[in-house]
Amino acid sequence: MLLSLPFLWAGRLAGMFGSPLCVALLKTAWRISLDGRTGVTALGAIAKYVGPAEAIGCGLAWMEKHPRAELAAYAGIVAAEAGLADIARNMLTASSQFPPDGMGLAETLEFSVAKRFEPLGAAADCARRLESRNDLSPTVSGMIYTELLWDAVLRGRLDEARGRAEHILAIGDAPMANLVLAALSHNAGQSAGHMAKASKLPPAELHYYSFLTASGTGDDERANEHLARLTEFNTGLAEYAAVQVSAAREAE
Amino acid sequence: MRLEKAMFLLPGLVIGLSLHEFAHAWSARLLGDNFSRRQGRVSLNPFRHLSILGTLAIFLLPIGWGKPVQVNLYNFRNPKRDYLITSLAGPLANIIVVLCCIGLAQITRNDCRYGAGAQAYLTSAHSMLIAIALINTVLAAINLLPIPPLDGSKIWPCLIPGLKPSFGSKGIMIFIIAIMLLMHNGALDPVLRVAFNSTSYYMPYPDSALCEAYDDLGAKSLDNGDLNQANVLFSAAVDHNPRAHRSLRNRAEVYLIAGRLQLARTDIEAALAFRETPEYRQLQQKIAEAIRLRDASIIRQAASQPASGPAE
Repeated sequence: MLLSLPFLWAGRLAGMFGSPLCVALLKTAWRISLDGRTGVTALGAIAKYVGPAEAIGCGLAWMEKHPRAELAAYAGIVAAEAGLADIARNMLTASSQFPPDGMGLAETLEFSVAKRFEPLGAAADCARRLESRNDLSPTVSGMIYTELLWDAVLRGRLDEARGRAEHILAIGDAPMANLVLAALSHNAGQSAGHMAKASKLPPAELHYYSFLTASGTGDDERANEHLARLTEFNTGLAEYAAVQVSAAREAE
Repeated sequence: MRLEKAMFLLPGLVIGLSLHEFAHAWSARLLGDNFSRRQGRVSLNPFRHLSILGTLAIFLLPIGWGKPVQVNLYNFRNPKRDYLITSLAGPLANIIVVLCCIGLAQITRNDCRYGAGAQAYLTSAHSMLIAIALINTVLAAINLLPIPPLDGSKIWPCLIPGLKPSFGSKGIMIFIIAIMLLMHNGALDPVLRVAFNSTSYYMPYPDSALCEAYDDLGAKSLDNGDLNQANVLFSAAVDHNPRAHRSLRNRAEVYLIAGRLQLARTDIEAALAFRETPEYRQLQQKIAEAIRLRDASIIRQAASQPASGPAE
């Protein structure tokens, strides 16, 4: 473990300066330490500098000799990001054979698979299932709280949406939670003090979330306005948003 | 840093860092966040908390550090209040260690009360307690500074209205380097001095150290010819350590000069019982000679006086 540190630090430093040399250094660090976290760092560098396919290949090869929960979950996340549903699902099954990993990667993969490859609504179900656990990593909790916030907004559970937005804002800056509170205040005829903070979002995201919020609060006029603006910035996202809203309405 | 110094600091740092991180993890668990438990941090096992780099730093720098405990604020019912409690738990654990050390030092301070064998152990234990207390004082004080990633940077946003408790990890390395530089150039010395002085004020001195200090002062008074002061100081030294042969020998010298020869003989004999040295023997002979001369003088005086009884 101690011997791997110089390679790990040098690899991280090389990564900070964008040098592909970090791949070789981090691979060496993993081979010496066989530590799951170091393996994940190495896989991340491979995915970034060589390619997702190579990272998944390395992850699978390393897993055969040295099974680690983190490696399985991270290889699955890379696969999910690359759109490789089968590999992601296999890795999810593999990671579930281990006790929960310390980095919370297994839940990230579980949520990613539900979000990317399952029908609309599956991600919210997955988030609700995970929400009952109190051993999640902050990253996973952030994702599921955001998912549940939008689920509540889209399905018109506005009181729940307000509570979730306030809880998210009690933890840190979250422009989208401000956006929801602004919309809810606007809907209730109050001044929208949160809007200024919400406008920190990039334009496409601002219109995307504004569209979802307006749709959820039943303000169709504003929703259409935002959808039109969103289409100007990102057509694909606009189409996805429209599908999201119609799916939520159908589910109701 | 010399290896001996590092080895002396090591127990305090290992105890301090382990308890500090354990306190963060344990308090987070009590408040509903089990992420630290999942990471194996609700444990008193030092290997779960010490970072390799932080431990190596103990040998290279004057301080070390442990792996920070990650807390999930989403699991808290009241994120600001609970994060404040969790962040305070670490420095509080260090303060509790300091208080325990001060309490235990009340036992080890009487290191001269027991046999010579026990004294060596008690003196070492007392020194170790002092080191542990001072290191934990430093850990508590440094961690309360409002500089990321120290606990102080998490505590203050929880206390100041309008600020959010979470802090991104951006620029953490810059802050860590800044802390190192501040420590290296002595900018943190005033804070550390206040903490050090507070702990030192309540930390009892061991009897052996007090005895030595009184003995040194007594020797100075004797050199200055202040016999009364020297007598008081050597007596204080003997009170703290009845086996302090050096102080007994010095007090015997004071008694000899003052002409209190019986007391001088008692002290030098006591000193010789603890340590047999030519110097002590020489002083004993000097005292014996003085007593012999005094006795002879008394006898001569008595002989020269006319008989007071009735003439036959």
